[in-house]
Amino acid sequence: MTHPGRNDTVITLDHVSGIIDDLRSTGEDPLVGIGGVVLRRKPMAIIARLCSDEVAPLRVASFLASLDIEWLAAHRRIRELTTGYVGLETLGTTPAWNALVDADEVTVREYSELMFISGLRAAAIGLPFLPSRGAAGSDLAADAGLRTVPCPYTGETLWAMPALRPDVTFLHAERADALGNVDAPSERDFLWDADATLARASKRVVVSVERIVPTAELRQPTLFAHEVTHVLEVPHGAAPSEVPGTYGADFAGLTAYQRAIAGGVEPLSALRDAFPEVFAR
Amino acid sequence: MSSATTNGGHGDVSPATRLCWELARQTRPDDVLIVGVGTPLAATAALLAREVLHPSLTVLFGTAVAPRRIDLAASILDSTAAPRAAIGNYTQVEVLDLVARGGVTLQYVSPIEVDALGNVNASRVRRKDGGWRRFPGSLAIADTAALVGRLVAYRVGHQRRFFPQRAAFVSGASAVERANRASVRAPGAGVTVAVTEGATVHLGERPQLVDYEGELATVVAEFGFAVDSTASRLREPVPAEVLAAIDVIDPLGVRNLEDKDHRSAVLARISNRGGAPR
Repeated sequence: MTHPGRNDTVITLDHVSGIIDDLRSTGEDPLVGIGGVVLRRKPMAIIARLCSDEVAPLRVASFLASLDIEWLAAHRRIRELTTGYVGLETLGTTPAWNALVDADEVTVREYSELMFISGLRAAAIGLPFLPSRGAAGSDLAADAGLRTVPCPYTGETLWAMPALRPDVTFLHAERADALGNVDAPSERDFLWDADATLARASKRVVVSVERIVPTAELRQPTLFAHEVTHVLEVPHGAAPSEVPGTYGADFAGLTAYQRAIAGGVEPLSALRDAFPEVFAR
Repeated sequence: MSSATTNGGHGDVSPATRLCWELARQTRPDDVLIVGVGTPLAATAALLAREVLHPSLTVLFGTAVAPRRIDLAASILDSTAAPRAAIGNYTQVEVLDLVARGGVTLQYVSPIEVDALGNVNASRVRRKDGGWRRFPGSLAIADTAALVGRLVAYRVGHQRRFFPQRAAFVSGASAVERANRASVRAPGAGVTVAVTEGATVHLGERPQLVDYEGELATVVAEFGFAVDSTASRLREPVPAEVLAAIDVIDPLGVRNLEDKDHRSAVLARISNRGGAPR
């Protein structure tokens, strides 16, 4: 299928690792943003490609992480994570990630939600920080080295949340056109808008979608072509996470994964057995 | 103490059921109460409070505003269940703005530890080798401890490790201790009350036991800090009409997902959509 987009807007999964290579070739140590919310809209097909042996371990920002980070951890393709949560909610744990953490093989930067989102908003509006009262007094604020600033009008002390600016962010959505206009989720679930906040803080944005459609068929774009670097069509590209309104999370696979881990199976093998379709891409 | 509670001789109820009622009792008529999406026990408690205590209570289910009847079991697997049942939905930025300007007055939180002063830890504890054992993460607790009117900490399992003298790590700061918290004029009261199936305790410089279930000495011994129990009382049974309301709100017993002894059974029930014991 050909798409009438910008020459290089539409890419394929084969181009994914090259995006990281290109950033590293310029001397950057890129910070990679990963969208999705816990078990929803995780760009798992892209993540699987980032687990290639040719991709050196990554620095990642994923606020509500789950299988994205579990996948990278099982393949030992992550060395630093800025996050507020890594888990499967009430459905279980992330043993590969937990093992890396327990072995001190990864740097964890635990942020509160306001630290993370204020950092993204600062980046999105081109400022070095945003003032906030969030996280006050916590060890999270101390660990992150947050500093305070005085309000120039009242003298009140406020935390300065530093800008959080991923070099590239990977997202998954339902539909986009070949220009890079990306539809908002058709079913508005919990934090449906979080991906747009992450995207607008990022220098480059790559979005896998279930379908690339003509522009006229878009319903309500939430990201626009001038904000999106690449799109790629990957049906079922968020599986085994959920795309609300399109397909659910793979509850059976998640249960099988937890059962295998409880039975002593090593995480990478357990992932391979529970979610063979991701490895087959 | 996480198998079943006796409900004052009126038939056993699960610890999660007892907790739902005790959490509901912490609400006030005009509260704006926010509960997390992955916390079905807190969600049941919030809906219960609105149903039997305070119809004027505003419940935010994540970003979903004042949802009507929710299928809690469906919401575990379907993230659109609560938003569909809501009057409307905030965006993430909008709900954080609401929290930041003091628009949320109550939150239930389920940390790993809560100490005498109300510092909460949802992040990590020390291992025996001196390293840290990390938990999934503290989400917005650092923010809500500083900004939400008051927080109520809860946990299934009335155990000493939940109530240390000092939290090993402060994910959310107490309002009565941390100087750098006061310097930014954070308006929230932090965690002022902790609730388990065994007891309710007011936290602060002089923690006070409010009520308890079972033997007083046994309950008090599970606190890692001194607790004044002189004004405490035995808990009343959970009223029959409350149990009936819980059965309607949470017919599959999804609230028991927050009890590790019941988790796998609940997941199986969700999968099969069968009935649930009380």
